[in-house]
Amino acid sequence: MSEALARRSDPVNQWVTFRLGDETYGINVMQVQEVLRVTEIAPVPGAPDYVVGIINLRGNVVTVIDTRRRFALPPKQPDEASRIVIIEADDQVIGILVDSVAEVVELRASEIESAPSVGNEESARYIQGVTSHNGDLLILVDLNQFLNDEDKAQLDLL
Amino acid sequence: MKADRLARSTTGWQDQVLLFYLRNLLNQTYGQSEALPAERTDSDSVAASQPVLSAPAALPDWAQSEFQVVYFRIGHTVLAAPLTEVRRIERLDDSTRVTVLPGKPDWFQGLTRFQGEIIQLADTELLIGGKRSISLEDSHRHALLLNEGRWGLVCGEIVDMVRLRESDVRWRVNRSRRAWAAGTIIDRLCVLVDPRSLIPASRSKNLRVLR
Repeated sequence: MSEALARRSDPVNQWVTFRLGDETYGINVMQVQEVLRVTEIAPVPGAPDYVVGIINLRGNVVTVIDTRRRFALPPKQPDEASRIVIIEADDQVIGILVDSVAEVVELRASEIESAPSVGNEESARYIQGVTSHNGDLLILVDLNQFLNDEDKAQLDLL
Repeated sequence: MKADRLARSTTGWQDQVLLFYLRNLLNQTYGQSEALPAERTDSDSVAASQPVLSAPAALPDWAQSEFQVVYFRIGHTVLAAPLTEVRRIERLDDSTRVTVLPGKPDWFQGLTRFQGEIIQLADTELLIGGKRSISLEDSHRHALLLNEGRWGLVCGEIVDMVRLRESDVRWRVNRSRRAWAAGTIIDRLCVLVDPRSLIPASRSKNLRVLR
């Protein structure tokens, strides 16, 4: 009984973790549809700079976002470990290109600390929180904030 | 007062100009922005009543009695911070893992863990308006962990720790600019940093557990 109560007040969520540069990030597993190896990504002329291109996912055209550019990290050519994580955020299906996908971890809400409230840059808004995991820090990304309204409007025009 | 008497006794226009300049200088230096420790005399009741001279309200609360400061180096500069605001000093070495967050300002170096606690590292040098001279690889790096906000002020070598009295410091009263500078430690001509002002309220929000 008390365990059920604790679970309600301190829910456990699963997070898919991926690597970008030296850091590990996590996204809510409920928003991840699938993880793909990097195949052919068709560039889109005139697309915003954070768009790598588009892929054909079983007949659906999905836009792939350059997550490194989004996070202001230096560019890197995709390699064997690179993956496209297909996510759904605010009813929009997109792919995010990451260096590698690591694992799925379970985190209690009480284990997550809010992100530092510094920085006014756009990229700061989608850092949802941080937590310690396996002796390292895991940066949790709020996918619903990953694209703002302007971004979504631009992607709709592709 | 002395300046006025001297003005009446001089006749040359150079003296008048010089006196005018000196009077302005005195007013600017001690009357408006940088307050000197008060040396009150009975005859100088005007000066004694001026709030800018050793006004208790202008002093940080940690400076009301004797207090200890830690002197630390930033590039070629030595600064001091009150130890009452610093709960621990940690050394940053090659094994210190700093997690860099995207979209943060330059002065925000990232997150690290000390004794299981997540600490936000701030580059002190950039916060005070300088250029970064302490690289992330610098082996003399330290972090002054502040009491509030789980912040660590990154600095270089720890120079000294000294006990001071209120009168050892020339306190700044008008801190509308460089609010982080609480005053100057007179014998070392060293700026005493007010850590709470260095990381203003808008930046100092605690890391908190999300629910």
